[in-house]
Amino acid sequence: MLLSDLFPVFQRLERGESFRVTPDGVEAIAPGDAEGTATLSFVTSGTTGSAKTVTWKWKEIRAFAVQSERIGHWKWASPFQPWTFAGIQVALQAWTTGGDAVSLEADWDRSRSQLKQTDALCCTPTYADLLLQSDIGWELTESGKLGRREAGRSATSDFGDQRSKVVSRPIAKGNGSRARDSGGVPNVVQVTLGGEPLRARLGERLKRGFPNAEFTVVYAASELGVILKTHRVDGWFETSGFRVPWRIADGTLEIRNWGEWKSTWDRVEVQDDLIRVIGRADEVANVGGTKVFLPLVAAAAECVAGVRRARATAYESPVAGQVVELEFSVEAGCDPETIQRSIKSRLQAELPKPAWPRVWRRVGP
Amino acid sequence: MSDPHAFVQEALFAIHRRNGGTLVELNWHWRLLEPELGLDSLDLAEIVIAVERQYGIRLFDAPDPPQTWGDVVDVLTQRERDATKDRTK
Repeated sequence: MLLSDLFPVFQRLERGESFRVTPDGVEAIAPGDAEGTATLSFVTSGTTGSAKTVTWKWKEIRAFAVQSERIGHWKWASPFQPWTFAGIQVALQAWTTGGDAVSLEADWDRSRSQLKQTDALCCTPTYADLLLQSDIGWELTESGKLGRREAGRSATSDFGDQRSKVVSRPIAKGNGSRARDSGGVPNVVQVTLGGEPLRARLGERLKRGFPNAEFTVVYAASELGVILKTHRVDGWFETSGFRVPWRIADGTLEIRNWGEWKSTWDRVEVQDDLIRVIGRADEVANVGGTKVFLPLVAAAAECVAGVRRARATAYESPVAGQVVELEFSVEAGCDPETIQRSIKSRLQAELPKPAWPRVWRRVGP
Repeated sequence: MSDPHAFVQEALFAIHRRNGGTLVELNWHWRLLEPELGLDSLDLAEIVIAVERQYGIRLFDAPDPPQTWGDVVDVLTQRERDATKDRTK
């Protein structure tokens, strides 16, 4: 099933029919209520992690799509599945604005080829990063030089002013306008990220990888809808973007929905008028009786120069119950041993002792 | 495979020094959390994991888990002997 297979479903929803979308396909169902309200149901892992069916009124889910001339008739590419909230959103956005939706796979060569004819990419930050890492062509490095990525590795070289001019070329805007043929640089003019927290370092890297694109980061939940959107790529959202009442209980974000406070099960951090999601509230290791929030360890490790990605998990220990294991990959050209020492000293300086990684695993090239 | 005495002492002293310790010699009769070593249970967990990963062994799965650092080395030495025997069979 492809994202574009939802288009006829949307047409029939518009006419008042109701549907359920699952990995097995689409089936017509009875209307959501006695008035015959059109509804769209799908299965979700939900905020709690256990699968359940979520049903949205068609007019409500439709309201999440953006109406703008700028995005008219665009081609939207995404790896999100059509039976998920995120996939439905992508397809709906394309359908609403007279565009097309393209389903991407984890076949990077094919995905890159599809992106050459695409205006917008909607995916998780990790998917976008892996796409870049898998040899997408050109990535502007922190020094402002262009680096060529090949076979999962990258080497930096200076290509001089000519290619830099290509990268910094202004993007033509307007109805259906596209910045194509920009010399091997990904052509997408819009990157929409969601599905997982975005870390600042990855956000910067993606900006370099998609230099012609405007970025939107979406924080949504299938039961609660789109909660926040921002154009920032440092992982923070403006709290002014909340359209519903919100609060933080025990570090976890709660949203008031239909008169009830509902937990997102996402651990968040607030600074002034900004909020960011750090990770799932249950991503915890019990280290000698102390709860360690694992995404914080990974985020701190990713702040170390030369670290490409980091992930912290719980490692069983007969002595301490669990300890923190840190898996990390390094930027091309960096010495993993040196980087590991840097991470160690930074985390030992910044984090309480139970949060220090005791097991190390290096991944990637 | 590295010498168990050398590996254990190096792993232990690395953590001991990180904690500000100044010992230059290890008494193999010391208990795993001997106060003079200045280790806590998290440090011990780190050393045990390093040893287990190096030698492919679960130290605390044995019927009589090691009590002292000498016991640890004995377990590793025995393991080395068993591995050598298996190879020569």
